[in-house]
Amino acid sequence: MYQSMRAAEDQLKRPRPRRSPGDLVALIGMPNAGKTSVFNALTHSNYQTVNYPGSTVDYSVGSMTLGERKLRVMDVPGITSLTPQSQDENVAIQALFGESPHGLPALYICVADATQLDRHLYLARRLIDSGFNVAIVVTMGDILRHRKGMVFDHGKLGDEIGCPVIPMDGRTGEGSDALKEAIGAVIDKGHSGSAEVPSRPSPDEISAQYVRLRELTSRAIGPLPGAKAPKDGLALSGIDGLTAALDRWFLHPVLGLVLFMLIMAALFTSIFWLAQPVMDMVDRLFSAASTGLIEAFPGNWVVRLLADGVILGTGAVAVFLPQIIILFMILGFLEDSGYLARGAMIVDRSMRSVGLSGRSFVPILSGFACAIPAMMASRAIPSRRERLMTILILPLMLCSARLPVYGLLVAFLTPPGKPWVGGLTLTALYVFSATTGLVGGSIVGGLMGLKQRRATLLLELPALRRPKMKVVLITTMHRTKAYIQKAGTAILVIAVVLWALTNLPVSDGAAAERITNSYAAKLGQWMEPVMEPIGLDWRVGVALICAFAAREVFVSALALMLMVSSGDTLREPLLLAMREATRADGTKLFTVATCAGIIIYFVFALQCMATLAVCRKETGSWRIPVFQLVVYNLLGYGLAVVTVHGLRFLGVA
Amino acid sequence: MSDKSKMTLLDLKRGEWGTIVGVEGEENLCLRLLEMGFTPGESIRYVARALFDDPVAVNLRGTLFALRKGEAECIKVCARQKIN
Repeated sequence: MYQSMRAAEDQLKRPRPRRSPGDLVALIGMPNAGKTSVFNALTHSNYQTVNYPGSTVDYSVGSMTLGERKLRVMDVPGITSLTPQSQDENVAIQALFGESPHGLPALYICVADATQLDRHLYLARRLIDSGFNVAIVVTMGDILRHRKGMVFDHGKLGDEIGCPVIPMDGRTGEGSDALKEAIGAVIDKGHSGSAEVPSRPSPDEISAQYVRLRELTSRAIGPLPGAKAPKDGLALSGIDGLTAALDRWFLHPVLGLVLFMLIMAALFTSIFWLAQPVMDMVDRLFSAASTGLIEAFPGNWVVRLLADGVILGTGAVAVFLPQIIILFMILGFLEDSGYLARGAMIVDRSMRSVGLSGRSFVPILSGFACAIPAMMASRAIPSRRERLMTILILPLMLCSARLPVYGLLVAFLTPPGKPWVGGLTLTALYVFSATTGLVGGSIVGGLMGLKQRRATLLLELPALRRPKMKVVLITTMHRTKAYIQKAGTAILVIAVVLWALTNLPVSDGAAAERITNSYAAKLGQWMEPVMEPIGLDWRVGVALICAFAAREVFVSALALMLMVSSGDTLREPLLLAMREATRADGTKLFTVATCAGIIIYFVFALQCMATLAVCRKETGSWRIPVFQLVVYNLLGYGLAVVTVHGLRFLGVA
Repeated sequence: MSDKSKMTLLDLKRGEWGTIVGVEGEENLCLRLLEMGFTPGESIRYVARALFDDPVAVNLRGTLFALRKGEAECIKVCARQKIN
């Protein structure tokens, strides 16, 4: 077998590199090479994703078995070059060269796409030339064969480049046994004694390197047996026919935009309409568990903590899972098919006007479901400034937790018999949130020095292909798991704290009575002067405090404060109570002006504590989350005051 | 050194192949473009454009890239010389 004898000899002659624990294999490759699929196939998707200490770059470390031996496999974000040009690239490259808690890899597995082999062998070549121990995995052989009518000879390529080359289909896992065998053969070979991190190459070196790589690949890749090589010398340059044909539509300046909007509309519709029944079911399930428990042990406050605090708190996390899973699945489909990068190209120009790029588009879009997965998705943005800018803007997007609040207030404002007014108002709110969020965020980002001076796009548009369900499901599962880990704990803790605020000191009365005697009520009464300028009273204040657990809690808290007995149909009695509620001086509490004020407050305010916790983790400091909490709440409040008084000035009560 | 009169990628007709003669512009951007494979002598094709010609999609070394106008303008090209 390939070099196995030499590997054994080397092991005897030379001690392993000092810093290498000897059992670490690192995957390296350009973005879209299929690195993650290879990683999943090797580790059977059994891995943990960890933050690199002190940064937001995450890398995954999983384990694989090689006969008796256990090896660790490390996956870092795809890189184009070994010369870092940003903080994050620097971190990823440092991790590859041993500056991580996992040590120096004993072997680098370079993942290369067969349809663009010279480009993808560039990194492998640089590592081999610098004396590192390398194996090469070539993916997308199927696209090369079926769509371009060519095959590559991996034995020939291996002989030419001087390391094992294994063809593999990362998406089906085909070829992973051969890869494992090859890893076993060379893992102990060790790097050459003089192995050093490659230095910044000169333009001439790069050109010369690519000329050699092109010669090498044109010897290893040839037409299918029986087929004739095209005479124009462009066989390796062109793209496959199917991608080219589809892109005539997808990348058309006008049609492409129309198709893009249709796809986004479909995405949105499914997030909301597909998820709704499941969300209702989850909601009912947790409410039933909570009330059931209280009824079984009446008057026990520990049970109440469990039922109202813990169970309902868990429910608050679980209720958004259907939406988030659907979002992740559809994004997974679009990503795996290769469309997502095209969408990024289409919106790049408009995103640039607010200091972002097409790459921020997916996170911003996800922000309409929930800011938390959106912040997690923003990791895919390579530029740190742009990522921070995106995270800064995300809480201003109209997330689904705001919907129940708007739903209630818009229903209150909608005149009877004119349901279209409500629909129109909600649509206007979406447009308003998106515009003010992007424009306002860009101004704030500019003030914070986060705006890009010179931004680059340089985005690869991968070949279009039919997405594989298995791949989509695995990514969805991993992303959902990460969401639960991140948001779950935070939401649960906050739910319990708020339960304590709204239920202590201990008293045995009904729910509405408990809340009016609670610490939260005292806090609410204390903030009455703050509520006064927006024409509201302490009861709405308490509901607003409760909204800090999760925005939608505002609705149920308001019901409690207005003494609406909760039942299956909360909405109608609540609307009625809202129409009748008066302030201390006898004037109506909820008017067009005050409702508009609350809506405006919710548009800007960052209430979701779980978002803050995730933001702290994703940005690596408290700077941005604290800024968001203070500025967005003050902004929301200030604009609410302006709205209420402006409307009153115009004669709208 | 930088010659404004040189033909850039954007001067190619859409669908037409050209040959890269060089990459000129900000140093780090040029390094990145070169490392991505935009090296002199390589064939390149202007494939598609978004509204207002920005960004553009180009075909190079078997794949497609979306480049902003400013990035595309760094890539100097000439009409493709026929190989054999």
